[in-house]
Amino acid sequence: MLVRTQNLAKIYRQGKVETPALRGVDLAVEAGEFTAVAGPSGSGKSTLLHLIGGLDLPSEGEVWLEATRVDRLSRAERARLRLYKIGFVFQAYNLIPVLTALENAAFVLELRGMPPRERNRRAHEALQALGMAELANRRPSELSGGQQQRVAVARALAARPRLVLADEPTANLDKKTGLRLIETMRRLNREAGMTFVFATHDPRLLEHARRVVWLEDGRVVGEERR
Amino acid sequence: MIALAWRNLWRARARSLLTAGVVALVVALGLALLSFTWAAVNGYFATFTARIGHLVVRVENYEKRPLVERVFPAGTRAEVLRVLPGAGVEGRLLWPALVAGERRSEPALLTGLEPGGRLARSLLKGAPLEGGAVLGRALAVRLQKRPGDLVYLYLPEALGEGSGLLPVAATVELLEKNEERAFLALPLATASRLAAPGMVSELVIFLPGVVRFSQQARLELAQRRLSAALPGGLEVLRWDQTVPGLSGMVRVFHRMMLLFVGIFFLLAALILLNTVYLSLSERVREFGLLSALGMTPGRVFLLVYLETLMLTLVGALLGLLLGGAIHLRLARGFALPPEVAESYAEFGLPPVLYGELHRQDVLLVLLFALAAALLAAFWPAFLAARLEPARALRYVAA
Repeated sequence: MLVRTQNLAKIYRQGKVETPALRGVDLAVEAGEFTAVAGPSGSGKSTLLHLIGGLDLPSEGEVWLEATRVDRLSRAERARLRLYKIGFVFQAYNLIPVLTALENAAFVLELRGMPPRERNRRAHEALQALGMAELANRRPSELSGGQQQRVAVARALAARPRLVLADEPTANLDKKTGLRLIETMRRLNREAGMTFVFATHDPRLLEHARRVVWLEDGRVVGEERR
Repeated sequence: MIALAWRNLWRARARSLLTAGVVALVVALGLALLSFTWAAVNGYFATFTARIGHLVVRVENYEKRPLVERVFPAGTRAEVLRVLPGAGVEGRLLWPALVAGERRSEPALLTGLEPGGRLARSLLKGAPLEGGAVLGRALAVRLQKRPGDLVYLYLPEALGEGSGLLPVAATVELLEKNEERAFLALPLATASRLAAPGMVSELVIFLPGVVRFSQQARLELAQRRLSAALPGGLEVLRWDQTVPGLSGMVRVFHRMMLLFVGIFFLLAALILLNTVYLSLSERVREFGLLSALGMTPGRVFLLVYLETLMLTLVGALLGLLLGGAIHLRLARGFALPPEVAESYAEFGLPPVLYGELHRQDVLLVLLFALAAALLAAFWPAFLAARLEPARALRYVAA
C-alpha cells in the first residue's frame, strides 16, 4: 500500500467559526494507480491531497505513506518526505518565477543536493519527454498556462517521486492543452510507473482515470474502478 | 539556492536598489565620519604633543616633590639622543617666581624654554623669546606691563643668581586662563642661570614621524628602551600618562563617533527590515510552493537570510567605494568652515586636518552592516520558515 488514510478529518477554524472540510475519510492507494478524487467545489478534494502530502495536518485520523505516519512528522520531516517521495502539480502558481523552465524542472533535484550536471541532464530529459526542451531557458512569465503545467509535471518526472499529487491540474487550461497534459500524465503512469492521485472535477480527466473516488461534504460517497 | 536568492533580490529592482543605496550611504557615511574622527583626533594629538612632547623625562615622583626639587642635570639629553637618535629633545625648566613691576608684584611660574624650539613655538605662538621675558597676557595686565617695560624677578630657593631685571619681550594668550595669570617664559639659558645652572625640570622628547594617535605602539617601545637606559631616579612618561585627561578625552570622542555610526546602522536595519518584510508579504504563495516541493523550514529561513545578506553586501560594497573616495579626499587635507574652525581652535584643533582610516574601522563598519542585516532578516525569515504550506498556497495578497 502506498497511501492510506484512516478516519481522516479536517476542521478549519476561524475565530469561533468551525468549517469541517473532511469528515472521516478512509482511502487506500496502491503503487502505480492513476486515481482521481472527484467532487464538487468545497467537497474536500484539495484538503485531502494536502493532508496526504503533509502540507497540512489533520484534525483527526491518520495519514500513512508506505510505512511512514505522515501526520506525526515534524514540519521539517514532512518537507523532507515531500522532497524525496512526493511530487506536486497545482492548479496554478506551480513554478518559481525567477527560475527558467530547466531550473524549475531541476529544482527538487537541486534541493536534494544532486550535482548540477546530473540534475540538469535529468531535468532536460524530463522537459524533452514533455515536448518542452526548446523552451528550457524561458522563465514562467514567458510560457503559456499549459506550458507551465507541463514544466511542473516535468519537475515531478525529473524527481521520480513515489507519488504525484495533482490538484486540479487542468482547471486553467483550454481543452486541447488539458487533454495533452492528461495524456502525458497517463503515459508517465503507464511507462514510468509513477502513482498519480489528482483532485479534479474535469470530466476529460475523469475519463482517463483508472479509479475515481467521489467526495461530497468531506465524505467518500462512492468509488468506481475501471 | 544562491542563484535563487540573488534573482529574488532583483525582482523588485527599484526597491532593492533603493535599499542597497541606503546601506551604501550608511557605510559611506560611517567611513567618512570615522575618517573625520581620526583627522580630528590626530589634530588634537598633534596640538597636545607639540605642547607636552611625545615622551617626557622627569625625576621620579615628580608631582609629589616641590618645584625646586624636580630638577636634574641637563646633560641627560646626550643619553636620550644615544638611545633615540634623531629625536628632538628640548629641556624645560620650571621654577616658582615672584615677578614685580613698579606698583605690584605677582606670583608666577617661570618656564625656561629653548628659543626656536617646538615647545616655544607651540606655547608662545611666534612671540619672540630672545628679547627678554614673555608674560601671559593676564599677568601683564595685572602688572600693568607692556612689551619694552622692565620687570623684576625673584626666584626663591634658587641654586643660581636668584633674581634679575628683564625687559618684557612680548605677551601671550594661553588656552588656560589660570595658566596665563602666572605665565612667565624665559630663554632656557637665562632661566637656568637664574634658577638652577645646568639643570632642567623636564626633557621633552619629540619622536620623528610620530604624527598620529594610532602610533602609540612606537611611543611605548621608545619609552621602554629609554627607561632601561636612563640612570635611577628618573622616569619616562608618555604624553597620555603626563596628561591622562587629554588622552581620555580623545578616546571618548572616538567612542562617541562609533556610537553615531551604530545609530546610523540601526536606522539602516529598519529600512532593510521593511524591504525584506514587504518582499516576504508579496511572496507568501511562493514560499508555500517552495515548502510543498520539499524545502525545509531551515532552508527557507536561510533563503531569506541569504537575500538580505546579499542585498547588504551589494550596498556595503558600493558604500566602501563611496566612503573610500570620501576618505581619500579627506586624507589629502581639509579645513573646517572658518566659524567652526575658530571655535574649535580654542580647544587645540589645527586649521587643516587629514582624514585617516584604519583597517579595524573598515572591518567595524562592515560588521555593523552585517549586524544590521542579521537583525533585519531575523523576523521575516522566522515568519517565512513557519508558514504552513497549505495556508500559504491559498494566500491571496490583500
